[in-house]
Amino acid sequence: MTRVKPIDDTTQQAMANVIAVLLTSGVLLSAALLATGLVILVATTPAPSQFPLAGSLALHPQSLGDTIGGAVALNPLALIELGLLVLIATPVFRVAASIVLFLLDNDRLYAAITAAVLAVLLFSLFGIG
Amino acid sequence: MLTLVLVIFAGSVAAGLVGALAGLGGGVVVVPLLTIGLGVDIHYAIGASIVSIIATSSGAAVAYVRERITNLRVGMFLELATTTGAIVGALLAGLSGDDVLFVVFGTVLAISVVPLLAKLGEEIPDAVVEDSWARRLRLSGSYYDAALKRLVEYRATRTPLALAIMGLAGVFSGLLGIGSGAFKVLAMDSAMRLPMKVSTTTSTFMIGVTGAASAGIYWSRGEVNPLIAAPVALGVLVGAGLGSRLLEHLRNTQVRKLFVLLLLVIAAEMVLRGFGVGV
Repeated sequence: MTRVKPIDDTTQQAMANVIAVLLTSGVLLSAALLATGLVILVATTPAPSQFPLAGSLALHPQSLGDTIGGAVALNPLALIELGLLVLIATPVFRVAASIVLFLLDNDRLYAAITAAVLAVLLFSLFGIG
Repeated sequence: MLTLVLVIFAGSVAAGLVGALAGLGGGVVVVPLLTIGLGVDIHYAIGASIVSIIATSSGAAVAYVRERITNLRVGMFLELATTTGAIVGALLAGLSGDDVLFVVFGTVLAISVVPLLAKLGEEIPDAVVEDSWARRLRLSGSYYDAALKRLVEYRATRTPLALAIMGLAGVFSGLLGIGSGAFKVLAMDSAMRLPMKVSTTTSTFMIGVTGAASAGIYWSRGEVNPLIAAPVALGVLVGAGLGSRLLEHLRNTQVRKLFVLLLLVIAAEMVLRGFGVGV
C-alpha cells in the first residue's frame, strides 16, 4: 500500500476543525435537550415513593417523527429521548467523519478500515437491535 | 425528586472524570451508585451505564480532537475486532450462564493486574521493537505530552495479540452487556506497549463506538429510564470534559496507578455480580 503525498495540511486542518465544531455542537445540543427535558420532568412529576421508578417512565421506542414532534411540544420524555438519540449518534458521526479525514489524507487503507467499522456499527444498530 | 436527580448528577460527574482519565466508561462508578446507593434495579443501572459510556467518549472527544493524544489508526483497526466480536457475543448470548461468565471476566481482570504492577513506575515504554503488522499498518505514532513538555514518539508491538484481546473483549461486551474499556486499555498498554495516556484516550474513543453499537439493544428493551439516564448523561459529559483536560497534565505513571486501582474495583464488581450481588 503506497502512500501518496497528502494534500496540503491547511485543508486537512480546516476539515478537522469543521468536524471538531460539529462534534462539539452535537454534544451541546444533546446536553441542552437533556437538561430542558429533565427540568420540566422534575417540575411536573410527583415524587416517586421508591425505586425502581421504571414502568410508566421507561422509554419506549417510537418513530423519530413522533419524538421530534413531542420535543417541539416540550414533552419532557420526548426531549430526553431526542437528547439521548443525539448523544448515541455522536460516535457514529465521528466514525463517518473519520472516513472523510482519511480520504483527504489519501489514506485509502484506513478509509476502508473505517468504512468497515461504520458498516458493522450500522448493522448492529439497525440489523440486530 | 430534585435531590435524587442532583445526587445522580454529582455521582456521574465523578464517574465521567475517572472514566475519561482511565479510558473506561464510568460504569464502574455509575452502576454501584445506582444499585447499592439508590436501590435501582440492575437492568436500569446497566442501561444507564451504556449511556454513561457514550457520554464519556463524546464528552472527552471534544477535548481530544484538539489535543491529538488519541491514536485514531490504532483505535479504528482494533475496533474492527471489537465490533465484530460484540456481534458474535450477542449471537452467542444465552448459551452459557451469565453468572459463570461474570466470574470468569472478573478473574481475568484481576490476573491482568499482575503484569501492570511490575511497570507502575514506567513513564514511557522503552526499547519497543515495532512488529511487522504495526509497521505495515503504521500504528506507531507520536503526541505532545504537556506533563513532560516534549513530543513523545512511540512504537507499537505485538499487534496480533492486541487484536485477539480486542476480539475477546468484544465477545464479552456482547455476551454480558458491559463496556470493555478495561480490556481495551490492557491490549494497548500491556500488549502493544503504547504510552499509558495514548492507551486510555484511544480506549475512550473506542468505547463510544462499541457503546453506540450496543445502545440499540438496551433502548429497544426499554431499559433506559429517562429520570436516571438524563442526569447520568449530563453529569458524565461535565466530568469527562474535566477529566480530559486534567489528563493532559498528568504523568503516565499517575494514570496507570488510577487504572490499576479501578481494575481491581471492576474485577470485584464483576465477580460479585456473578454471585448474584447487584453491583
